[in-house]
Amino acid sequence: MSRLGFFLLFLSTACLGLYSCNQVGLGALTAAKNVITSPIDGISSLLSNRRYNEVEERTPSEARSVNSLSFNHVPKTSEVIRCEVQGPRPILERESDLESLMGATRSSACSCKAWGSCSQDVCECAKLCPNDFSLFKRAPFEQSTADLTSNDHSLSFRNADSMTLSSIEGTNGYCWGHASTTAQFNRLATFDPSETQMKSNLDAASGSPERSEALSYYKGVIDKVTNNKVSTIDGFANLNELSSHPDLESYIADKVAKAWASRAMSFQGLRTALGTGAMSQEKSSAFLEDVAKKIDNFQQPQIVFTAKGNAAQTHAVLVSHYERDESGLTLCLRDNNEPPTVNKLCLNRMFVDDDGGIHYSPWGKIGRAAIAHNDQADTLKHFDVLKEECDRLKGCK
Amino acid sequence: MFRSKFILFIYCLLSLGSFQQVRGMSKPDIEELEQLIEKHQLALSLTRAQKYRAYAVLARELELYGYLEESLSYYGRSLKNIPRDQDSLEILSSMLSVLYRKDREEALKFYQQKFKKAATSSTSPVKSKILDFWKKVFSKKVFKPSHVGFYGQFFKDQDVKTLMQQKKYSVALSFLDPKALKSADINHRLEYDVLSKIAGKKSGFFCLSTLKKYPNSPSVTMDICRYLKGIQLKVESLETLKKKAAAQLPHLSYLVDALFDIPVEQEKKP
Repeated sequence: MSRLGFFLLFLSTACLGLYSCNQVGLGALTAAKNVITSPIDGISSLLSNRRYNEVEERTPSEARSVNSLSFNHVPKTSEVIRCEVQGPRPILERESDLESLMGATRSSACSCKAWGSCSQDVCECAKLCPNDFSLFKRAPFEQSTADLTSNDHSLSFRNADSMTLSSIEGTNGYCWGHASTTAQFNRLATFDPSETQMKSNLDAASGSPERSEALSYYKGVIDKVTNNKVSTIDGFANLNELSSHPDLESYIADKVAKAWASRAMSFQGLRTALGTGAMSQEKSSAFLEDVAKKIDNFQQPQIVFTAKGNAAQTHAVLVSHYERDESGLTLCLRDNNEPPTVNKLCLNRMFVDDDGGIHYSPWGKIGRAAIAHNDQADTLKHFDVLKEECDRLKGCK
Repeated sequence: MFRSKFILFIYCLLSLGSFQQVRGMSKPDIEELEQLIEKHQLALSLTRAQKYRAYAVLARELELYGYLEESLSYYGRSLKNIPRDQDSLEILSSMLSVLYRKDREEALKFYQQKFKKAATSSTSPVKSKILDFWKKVFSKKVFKPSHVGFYGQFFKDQDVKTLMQQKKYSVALSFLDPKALKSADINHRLEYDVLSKIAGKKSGFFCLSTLKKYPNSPSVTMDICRYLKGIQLKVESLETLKKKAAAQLPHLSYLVDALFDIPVEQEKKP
């Protein structure tokens, strides 16, 4: 073998050594070739896209069964494991015995699923902390992504209700930041309302050490979540309650504005607003299917779209869930200009119309629609920190 | 050979995202990658166009992951290698938006010294939109009441705040619509409340629903609301509130400052 050959082999090994599987390596080489042939605009999120696809491929298809709103979810028997120590069988004499037995069974059973209550002794880590997108099935996610769309799990302030009704021409506020920040809290924050001390301290006298400590604590946990870290937030029951507190509302609103700036002010954000012609049937359908695929992977993706013929009218939202019937696929948008209830009921609907373009129920026919350029990277960041947290909590490292 | 090395170079860049299947990108990963590239002098054998493209890929990714300093560094390397026939608008726009997130003053300097001139000579079809956007961002002027799209609230916020700081209260008030402020955040509700109080409004302030919910909160926003309502502040005086806002929430100082301009005849000293 030539010197160059050895050199290339060495380097390939150096790079490949970082992978656990040849397929991944092949994917990287394919992607590397794409860099040469793609225009610069097309390669902008290449690394994130590639990694996203890897995680998606690992996600078992049977896990992706709760993609649309369902009120009748029954846990699979494989998700429930009875952990009680084996002993003599109880003798059932009265109805109350049966009730107490059921109670004891419920309390001793544990769930063997992502973030489940079982210990790793009875449930393998691959199920407790799966290395795929089923890791996003974490409270407040229960049955479907639509669970996240409720009032409790939404920011207390709408994007810009004032602006949509305003005499000033239709403006859409910090929609992109609103969507991103909401997704961060829904995925990364857990709330513990039983720990009330810190919240009470917010009412302590101005300048007191107690109040200063409480302010510092809450700003710290908000910073953590908005910097894509997992955090438990004491004293509040949910996102709505947290974001309506007078000491914190303004702080969170600032985070929304900053999140907006980092997305909308980028080159890709500025370019997004340019497509105003209706999309072709093929592109429209492909877009809806791409979004549905993300929802099947337990995500509420961020999408951006423009009004038809008006590049200035742009919006960015999360997609709550979808419905599929004989008429086709309909996306249910979590429009941050609308009350959460309206969104959860899928009254803000996006679908391909008879002409092949995309129709959004409050707007009519729209121009260009796309998954936000930051969505893959945001999803991966959240996936990574959640995996780390799950492994830590369940002792799976 | 160049092609092989380029593929290898990009391959190593790509491996950055997969160094750890779990942890994702971190600063040690970036350093490790840089060492790898330097050790094997991969970048030396690439053409300018290849370097330009490869560094741009990495810079964009670093930007998405929030590594602003590193992102700027790679955008800079990409820009140094830009081929003559390539338009620099994307790289320059990206650098400007990263700088804006990192340091507004540095961003303004970059905009004035480099961006404007280079962007003006760009052949990109999106040139005028991008130039117009950044011109508005760095302008001190107040714009016409036409605030649209992603950028509407941003410019409106800037305008209302600037107008209040300039004490042009009636114009600022005309930018806000009371019909839909109920679900806006506390800052926007207070903006309207303060402006309408200056204009003579005596009751029905939007902040009161929050004050009712949190009657004991000593927050600056709730004290502003108390002042409008004419009830006892949690601090000694309006002067003290001004100092408190300046120290703790300087971005809200303009709201407290405006309280001093409420006409005396309608002001009730709390």
